Amino acid sequence: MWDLILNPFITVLVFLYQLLGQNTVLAIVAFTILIRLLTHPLTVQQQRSLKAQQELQPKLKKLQEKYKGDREKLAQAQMELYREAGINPAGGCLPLLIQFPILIGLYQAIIQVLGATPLQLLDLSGRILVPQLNQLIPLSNQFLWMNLAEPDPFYVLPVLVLITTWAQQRLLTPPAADDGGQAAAMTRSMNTVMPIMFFFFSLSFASGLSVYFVVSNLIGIVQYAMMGKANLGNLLPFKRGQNANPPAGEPSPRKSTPAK
Amino acid sequence: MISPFVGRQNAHQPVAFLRRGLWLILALVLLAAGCGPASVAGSWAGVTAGDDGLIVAYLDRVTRFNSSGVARWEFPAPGDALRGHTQFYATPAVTEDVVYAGGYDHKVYAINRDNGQMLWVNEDATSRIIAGLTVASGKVLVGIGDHGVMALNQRTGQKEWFFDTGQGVWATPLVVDDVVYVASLDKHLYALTLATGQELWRQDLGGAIAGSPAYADGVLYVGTFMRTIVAVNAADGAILNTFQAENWVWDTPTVTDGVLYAGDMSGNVYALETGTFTPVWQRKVAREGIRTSPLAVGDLLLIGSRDDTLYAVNRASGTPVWQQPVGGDILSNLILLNDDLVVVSTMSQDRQLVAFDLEGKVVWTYPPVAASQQSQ
Repeated sequence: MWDLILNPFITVLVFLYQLLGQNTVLAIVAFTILIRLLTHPLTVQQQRSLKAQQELQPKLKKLQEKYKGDREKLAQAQMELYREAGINPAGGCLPLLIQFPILIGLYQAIIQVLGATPLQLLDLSGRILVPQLNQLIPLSNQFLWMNLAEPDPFYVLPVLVLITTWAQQRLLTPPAADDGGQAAAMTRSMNTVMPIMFFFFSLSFASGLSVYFVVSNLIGIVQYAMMGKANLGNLLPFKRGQNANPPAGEPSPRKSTPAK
Repeated sequence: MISPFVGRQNAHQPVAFLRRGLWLILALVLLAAGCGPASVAGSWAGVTAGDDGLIVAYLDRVTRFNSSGVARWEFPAPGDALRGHTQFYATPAVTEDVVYAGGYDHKVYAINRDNGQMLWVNEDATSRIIAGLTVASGKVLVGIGDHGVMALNQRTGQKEWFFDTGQGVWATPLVVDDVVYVASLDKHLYALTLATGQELWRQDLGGAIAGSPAYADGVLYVGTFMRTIVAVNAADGAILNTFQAENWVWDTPTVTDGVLYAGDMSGNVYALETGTFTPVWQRKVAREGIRTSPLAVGDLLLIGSRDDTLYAVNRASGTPVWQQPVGGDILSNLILLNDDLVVVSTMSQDRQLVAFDLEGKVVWTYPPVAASQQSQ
């Protein structure tokens, strides 16, 4: 079943490698952009759904207060509210669920084609759907000073992974998450833990995978900036603690606070 | 009256818990990334037969076994600072006194065969050592994982020459009559002089070559990732014959009595007449890929597969004779000991080595298992 996703991905990745002058890094970049473009409508749908749900929050909280202690009536009222607003409560999850196997497939395809170890290269046999593309295996692993199948010996890529992961986390943090509440505390932890975690992954993973992490982060930033979701103010230290102006179309965090 | 401070603490308890969870995950990642032993297999065991047993390179050690499957020494020894900090998969080369092993730490080790003590270490390789090592005329030949092959002085470990290839060398160099034949992932088969590493010829075979060539009567036989088995003239590199298989051919073909035997990564086995490459027989023997060289013993052809099974087929017809599950992927070459014992190395930690007699009965295993389990 998993092969239905992985094998075409690997074949396309190898095809891109051939198309782009047998440059593995370019192939990874192009493949990541391609997959992100294909999943972009899902990302947009997911964001729209999240935004709509965010806008309903004050009304939902009112309902929670009104039907405190009566779960059945609360559920009915919530469903009615969703129906009136034309929102599917699972609408934010479905695109994510569809994207998830695609992104895992993307990640796995990159690991497999790098063929960092004999076992990984062995697993590649039979996965390339166009027999002539077998002549390109294994992909060339040399890029600048690096062997893409091994960790970067000079730690440049791990540092880039750290910076871009941090930047992406910060840029995508909504202004409401900086208001000092519980969500803000949680977000701050995520913003610190995730970049450090990916930095350490990159120290031991094949550097080709680090290339993917960096490209993926940069694409993520561009993608969300195009949707007006990137909060550039979050990158500036002196903005910390203040509520940056929300991007166009984003409800103000003050406005979204339920009325007393 | 409830103190606002206490109330605030309670309200933050789940968040604090989640935050602690995140930091715990980070701590575990750090531990796994930097401090844990190098125990996740990146490859299969490299196994070599010695006069009186086996040398096995797998995970974090090289182990010498006697022919009953009893470990005599391990390198690095338990407690050695090196233990757990590198991995060994390259098939070691063995001489009367010394075992030569290549590590994932880019180093080549010479080890005293009697006691497992290190004699010298060479650090000239630029990448992991994946290819098996070869010893010939006072030199240790080492294929390097990212590119090239080098020759080391057998006694001192000093580098004598290096020959560059476009991509990695994962196949054991083959030496015949003072010529080194090197198969590379850059799709070329090279012939070099043993003395200086000077190139005699190179031949582009169209696909990566991960298995060593076999040599018989002036001809080299080698499999490629272009799903081909190719016969090459050892004297000048000219391609004599090509056979199209169904999938990648990674193993070194076995040539005996004018017939070549090779498996592919779809589980097929091909028996070809060496002169013309006319199939004597071809059959899908295994459910999954065959990476190991077929082992010809008497009338039997023994084949190990990724489907955890050792197969014995009739060498003349390919007809199945017996098959035995071994409890793990068979990717390492099969070893014949004392002409009557076939030792199989698997990817399973519980059944690293399984020795069969020629009728398919288990004789011993490493680690040892109780007799009741062994008979099952």
